[in-house]
Amino acid sequence: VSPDDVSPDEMSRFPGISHEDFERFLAGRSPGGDEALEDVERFVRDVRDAYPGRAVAHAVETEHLAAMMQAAGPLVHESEPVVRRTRDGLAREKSGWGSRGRSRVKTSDVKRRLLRSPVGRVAAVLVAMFTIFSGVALAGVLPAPVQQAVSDVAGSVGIHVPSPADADDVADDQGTDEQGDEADDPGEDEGNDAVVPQPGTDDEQEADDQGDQGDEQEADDQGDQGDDQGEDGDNQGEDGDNQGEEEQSGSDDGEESAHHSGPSESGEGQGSNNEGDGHDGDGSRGSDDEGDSHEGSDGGSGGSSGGDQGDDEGQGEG
Amino acid sequence: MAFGEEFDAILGAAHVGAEWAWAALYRELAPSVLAYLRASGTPDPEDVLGDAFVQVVRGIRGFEGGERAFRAWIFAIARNRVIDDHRYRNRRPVQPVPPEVLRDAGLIGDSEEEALRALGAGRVRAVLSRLSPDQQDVLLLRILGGLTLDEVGRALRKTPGAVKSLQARGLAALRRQISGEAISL
Repeated sequence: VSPDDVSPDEMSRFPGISHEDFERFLAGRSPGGDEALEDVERFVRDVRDAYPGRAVAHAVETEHLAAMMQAAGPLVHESEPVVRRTRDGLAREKSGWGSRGRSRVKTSDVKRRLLRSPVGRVAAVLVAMFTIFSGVALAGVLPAPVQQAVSDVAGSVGIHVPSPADADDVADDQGTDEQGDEADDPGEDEGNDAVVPQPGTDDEQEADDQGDQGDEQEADDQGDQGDDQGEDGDNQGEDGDNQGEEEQSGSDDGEESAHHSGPSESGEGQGSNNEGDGHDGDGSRGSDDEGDSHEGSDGGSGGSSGGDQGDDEGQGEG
Repeated sequence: MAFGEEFDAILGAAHVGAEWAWAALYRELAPSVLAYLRASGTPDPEDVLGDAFVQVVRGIRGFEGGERAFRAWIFAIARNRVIDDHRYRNRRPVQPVPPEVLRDAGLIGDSEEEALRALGAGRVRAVLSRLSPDQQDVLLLRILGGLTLDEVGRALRKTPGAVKSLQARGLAALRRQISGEAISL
């Protein structure tokens, strides 16, 4: 609305200062007799007096320069291409530690640096191989010579790793399990075919009688081995009577089995063979052992027991 | 700025981390930047100054330009650090530094000159506080930083026309305060 020759500050009581005037003030020149502008010129001077561009205190300057040179670490290393490729990570690590903003190195950065170096890669592969090898060795599925060697070495430091010999023993004892499993059915069949009386049948009384004998004989024999075996022996004695007639020495583990199948399991022969032999007799497991060394016998439950296994248990428990 | 033709060599040395180059840049620019930080009312201007120069070092690879542009760039970084510092202090309580620590560090003195300067600074702050933040920045960058309108525009990310307008309005407001409200400078 105003004409062009009117100042934009026409409504203001204190009109503004032209750009040229202000440039003159900044250059340190006086307003040139215009007293109206002296207050602004004085303000510029007062600002410069109040906040002079003094040198920074020496202590502050030293601290700042140190921080700047820490931050400039990557610049130094990146300006050296050969060094940068091999030591880049280390250089960044040095510049990062102790700086103001970053005082920590992230775990992910450390992992990345480790995996980036050849030594770190080799170490990672070795650790992985060792872990896998250890697992396989503990499982006992290494080739026999290797497994034996590993077992010896681990045993020397107190770590039990199964050796092929152990595996053989276990196979012999549990000949047991493996063979017994296979022989379960045959055992039962044989047992059924055999003269062995079935539990809960008419043979019970006979079994009881024989069991008594078994008790006397085997319990005495096994009494030295321990309570558990003695108990087992009792039951087995009962069982064993029947099996004894069948010349079975099958033994088996466990009180449970003895209790379950006690009436029909072996005893006499076992009692005479071994302590372990005498004790036990799980019907079901008995059949395992039958497959191993007996002609299948077993109580009516179809179980006879393996003498070897009985041995082991006898030793363990006794 | 006193570097002149040497600036390119100094900047090149600073690019590769030469300590002497950074020391030269710091000694040349830090005083005026520190004055700007103090006039801006930053509670801990030395700390912000150090952060600003560290940021300059970290970002030197992205800088392109001459001596004047470098100066404007540093003031832009310093202003950003002031804003960050204000935000930081708004979120966290202030822990005042004991005067003896400041005295040992040479940050304060006890001379009459210092007292008068503090008084003058108080008056200046009183006048500037009546201006908008942008007007304060324009006037301080022009008076203490020695930047031109274009350089202030780059530092504040504004067009030269906008800076010129802010400057004119700021000076007019300044005159009103000085004359109309009888604020003695």
